[in-house]
Amino acid sequence: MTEQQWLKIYRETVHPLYGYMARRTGGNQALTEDIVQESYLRALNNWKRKTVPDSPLAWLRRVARNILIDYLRQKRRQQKADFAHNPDSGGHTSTDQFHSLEIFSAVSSLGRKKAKILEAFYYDGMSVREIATEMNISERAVEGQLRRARRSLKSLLPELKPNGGQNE
Amino acid sequence: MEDKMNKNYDPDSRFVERLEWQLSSEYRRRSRLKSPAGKIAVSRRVATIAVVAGVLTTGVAVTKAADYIKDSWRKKIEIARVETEVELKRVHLESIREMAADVEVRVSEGLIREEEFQAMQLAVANAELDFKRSLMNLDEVKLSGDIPRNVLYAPLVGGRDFVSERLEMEKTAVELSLEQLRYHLGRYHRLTKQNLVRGHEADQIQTEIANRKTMIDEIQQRLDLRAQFLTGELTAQAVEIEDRLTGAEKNLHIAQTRVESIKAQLDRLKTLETRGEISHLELMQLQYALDASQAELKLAILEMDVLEKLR
Repeated sequence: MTEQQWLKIYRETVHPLYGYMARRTGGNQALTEDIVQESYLRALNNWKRKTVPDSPLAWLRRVARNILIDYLRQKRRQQKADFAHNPDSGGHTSTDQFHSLEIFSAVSSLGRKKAKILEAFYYDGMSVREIATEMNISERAVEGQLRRARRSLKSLLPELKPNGGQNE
Repeated sequence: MEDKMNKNYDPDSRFVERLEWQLSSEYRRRSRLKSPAGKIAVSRRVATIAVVAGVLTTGVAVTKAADYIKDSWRKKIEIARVETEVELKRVHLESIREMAADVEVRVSEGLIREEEFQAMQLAVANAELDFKRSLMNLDEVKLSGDIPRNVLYAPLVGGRDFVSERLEMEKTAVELSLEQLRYHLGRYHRLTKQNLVRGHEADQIQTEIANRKTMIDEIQQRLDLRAQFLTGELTAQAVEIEDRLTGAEKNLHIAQTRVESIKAQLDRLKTLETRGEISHLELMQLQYALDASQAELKLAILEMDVLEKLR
C-alpha cells in the first residue's frame, strides 16, 4: 500500500466512518473523533503488515464498533455508580449523549443478530427492504426480527422513558 | 426509538485535515522504520547504535593509521564521519518535530498540559541547534580536512570563525533553557499564590535560573577572549592561560561549595550518631567523601597558583 493509496482510502472513508460512529455515540464529538482516529491507526498497523481488505470501510466500521463496545464496557465497570448519579462525570457527555451510549451499549449486548438488525434500521437508516436484501431474508422476517429485538431492548432499558424518538 | 437517527453527523473539517496530516506522517514514520525486503529487520535504536559504533571504530582506525594514510584519504574519511553525524542529527530532528506536532495536537485537545508542549518546543530547538552544529562541523572539515578544533586559540578556517559560531550556539541552547525555566517559575508563582504548590519548588527553579545565568556569563567570557585573540590583543598562550584560569576558578568554586555542604551534613550526622540514631559507618562514609572533596579543592587551588604564575 503506497502513501497515495492510504490517503485515498482515508478521504473516501472518513466521512461515512465518522457518521457511522457519531450516530452510535449520540453525536459525542470527542469520543467519536477518538474512536475514528484509533480505527485508522489500527488500520495502518494492520494493512501495512498484511493487505488492504476488499472493503476498507466495512473493516473500519467493525473495528470502530469494537472499540466503542470496549470503551463502554470499561466505562461501565469503572464508573457505574458515579455515572448513574452524574452523567457528565465521564467528560463532555450530555444527558442525551449519555442515554445514546446507554442505548447503544444495550443494543450491542443483545446478540449479534438482533444488534445487527436494530443498528441497520435505527442507526444506519436502512429500510426494511434494504435490510431484507442484505440479509437475504423476506421483508416479513425482517419486521418480525425487528419486533423481537425491540422487545428485548425494552426489557434491558426499563428506566429510560419515551423521549423524542430515543426510546420505543 | 420510533424514528430513525437521520441527524446529519459530519466531522469537523479541522479534525479531518488534522487526522489526514497525522496519518500521512505516521505512514512515513513507519515506512522509514520498515527494513527493505530481503534484509533482516533491525530496530532504529539498534541501527543507530551500529552506525555510531561504526563511526567510533572508524575514528579510532583513522587516528591509528593517520601517519600512514595520505591527507586526501584522511579528509575523505573524516568527511564521511561528519556526514553520518549530520544524517543522524537530521533523522533525530525529524522525529522530534513529529513528536512535537503530536504533542501540540494533544495540548489543543486538552489531553495533556501546556508544560509538556513547552518542553517539546525546547527539545525541538535543541535538536535544531544540534543539526546546525553538525552541518557547521561538516563545513569546517571540508575546508580544513581535519577534525574540528574547539580551542579558543584555533585559527580561522577559510576566513570563518567556527570556534565563535560554536560558542554562540552553545549560548543559544542555554538561553533557551533559561527561557523555559522562567516560564516554569511564572507558573509556579501563580500556583503558589493559589496554594497549589509549596514555595520551595519555586526556589529550586530560581537556583537553576542562577546557574544558567552563570553559564551564559562564562560562555560570553570565552567569546570575549576569542575576540581578543583574533584582534591580536592576546597571544595564543595568554588566551589558553586565561581560559584555563576561568575553568580552574569554576572548579574551585564547585569544590568549595561541596566541602561546605558535606561539612554541614557531617555536623548534623555527628549529632545523630551521638544519639545512636545512625551507625558510625555512615559517619565514616561521609568523612571519606569530605576528604575526597578537600583533595579536589587543594588541587583546584594548586592549578590556580600555577596558572597565576604563568600569567
